[in-house]
Amino acid sequence: MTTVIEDVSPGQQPAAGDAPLLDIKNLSISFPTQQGIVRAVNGVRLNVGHREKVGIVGESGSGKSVTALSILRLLPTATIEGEIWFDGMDILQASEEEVRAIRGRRIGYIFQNPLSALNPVQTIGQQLTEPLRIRGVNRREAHERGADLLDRVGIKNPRRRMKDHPHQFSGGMRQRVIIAMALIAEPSLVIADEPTTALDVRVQARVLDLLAELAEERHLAVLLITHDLGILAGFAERVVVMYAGRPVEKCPIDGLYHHSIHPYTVGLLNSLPRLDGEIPKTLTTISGQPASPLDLPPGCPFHPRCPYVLDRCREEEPLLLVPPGGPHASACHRAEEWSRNPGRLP
Amino acid sequence: MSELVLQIEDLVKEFPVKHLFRPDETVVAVDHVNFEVHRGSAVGLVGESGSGKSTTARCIIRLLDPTSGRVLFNGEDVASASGASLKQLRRKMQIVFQDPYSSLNPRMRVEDIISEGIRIHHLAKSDEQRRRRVLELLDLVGLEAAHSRRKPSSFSGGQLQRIGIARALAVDPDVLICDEPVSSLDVSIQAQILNLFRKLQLELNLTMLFIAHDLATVRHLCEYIVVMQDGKVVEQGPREQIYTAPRHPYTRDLMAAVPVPDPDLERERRRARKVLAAELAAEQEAAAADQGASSV
Repeated sequence: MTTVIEDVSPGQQPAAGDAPLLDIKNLSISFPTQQGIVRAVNGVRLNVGHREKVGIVGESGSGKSVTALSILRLLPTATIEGEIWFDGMDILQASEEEVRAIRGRRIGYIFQNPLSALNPVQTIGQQLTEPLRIRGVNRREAHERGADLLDRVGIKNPRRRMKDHPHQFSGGMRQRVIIAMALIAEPSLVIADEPTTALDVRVQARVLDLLAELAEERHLAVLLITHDLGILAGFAERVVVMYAGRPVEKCPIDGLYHHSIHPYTVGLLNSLPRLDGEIPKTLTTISGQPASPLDLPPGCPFHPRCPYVLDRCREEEPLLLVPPGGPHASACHRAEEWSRNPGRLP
Repeated sequence: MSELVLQIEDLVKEFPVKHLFRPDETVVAVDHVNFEVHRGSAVGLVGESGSGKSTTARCIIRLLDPTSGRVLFNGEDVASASGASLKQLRRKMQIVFQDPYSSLNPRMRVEDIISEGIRIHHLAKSDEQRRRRVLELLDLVGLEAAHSRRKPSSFSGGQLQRIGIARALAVDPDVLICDEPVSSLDVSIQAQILNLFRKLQLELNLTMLFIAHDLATVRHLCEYIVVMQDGKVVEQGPREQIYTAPRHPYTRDLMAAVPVPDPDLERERRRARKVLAAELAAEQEAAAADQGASSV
């Protein structure tokens, strides 16, 4: 075997003594369902360095959101295996109390739907300052800091708006409030799970630009979960592509778009209608449907949809490895060939 | 110029909003909208939520009655249609909805969903002919004959949208109105459905009014674009003009906001967005100052 058993290419390996902020090792998550045990996530390895912006991209059922939720141990019915290290603490082994001390305080979480993530009968001010109040910050100071932060996320008349309820804000403004809530306790990591999916495109651009600015300003690490290769391109520095609960490609952001070495990623990129360039007669598509974790095919989970399938793919699941001479890690039996022909196999 | 199928003239739709403690108000959802659709063409109606694009579509097929203005379909005012002529109108204009999970009856078999319109409009001479037509339609949209006996719950989102398209095409419509037909689908499935629309355009010479918020999708399918904001049409024109030289600041803002799957380009666009946002803010301030001055 000539392949390197390591999915971090030399340049990406953090220097010794500089441990990543978040380090997920061999994470597997399964749920009991009526149809039996469902393995939603299988063998995810991922790290996020201090002040780094990392993206997880995947379609529905890829396991991206479940991965994010497990970091805060928000999956009470799931069986979770593996390790999740956050700043020297193994979250999966920690006590409930220790995890509570991290949630919202060391790790902020931005949810997808800005309306259901807010309590409709509490004022924005009460909800925004709650993480501070729990930590024992006095009411006046919490209020001041809350209002300042609202001002920073672009809400006009912040002091007056602290007294308003969520229904008095538009969708984009609510998502700004949610961002403020995630940041108020000055976390070192923010997990943003499809933060702009419910928003209009102009609002989406503004919210993402704001999040990027704040991350810069406050030395935040961000883990962005999305299905949209467009928003990822402008935001993340590194990316993991997930398919059927597995990481299938892992690389610096430019590598993904310019020399992808996994057929799923290549297929996704080719299937996007573009805003520029020639309009193709037909879009290149990925045939079939995303694999369901309820009914995974044997071998490589992508093989039924893969135009480059080999016999080996039907039997043996590929590991996420950096192929010899390859630019980054890919879970494909033909990764070495891909490395010589990024973007398209002959 | 080819024949006009749809003419939307000065269309207005207002909704009353009742308040408990305040006087009632009127919301103008569609505000003096004008555009035309030629036979065999695909027109894209784009805008953000609340821009009035779906309300416009609903007025066109008379699921809503306009407050004022006219919708002419093949030269006839849709508002004057009633009884048999309204039934014909509903046949000739079909709609594909955004959410295939909620727009197909879960208790009906696919065959019955697709053939319901054929039955109602007596488009088949016999049961046999009707069944043949259903199989033809399934084949056209890329489904299999065996699918006809199953119910919607056993299909994925992309397959359901294909069924919704087959259902709309079953009655041989003149115009297909598509209201965000791919936005609830997975990325890898969206392209499949877009290709299907493209194929139908070419094979059936279908006239399409395609409603979407995603500008890249609309660019792919439509040769004429109508941009709406707050109920008004702010800009309309051929595809090349809208995408390469948009005139209205709103259209420019919309274009700048669309995320592009290319890191170099996207970094550049973020810088451009910042500049544009500052310009827009300045413009708004200037406009507000003007208004302040004129109201004094």
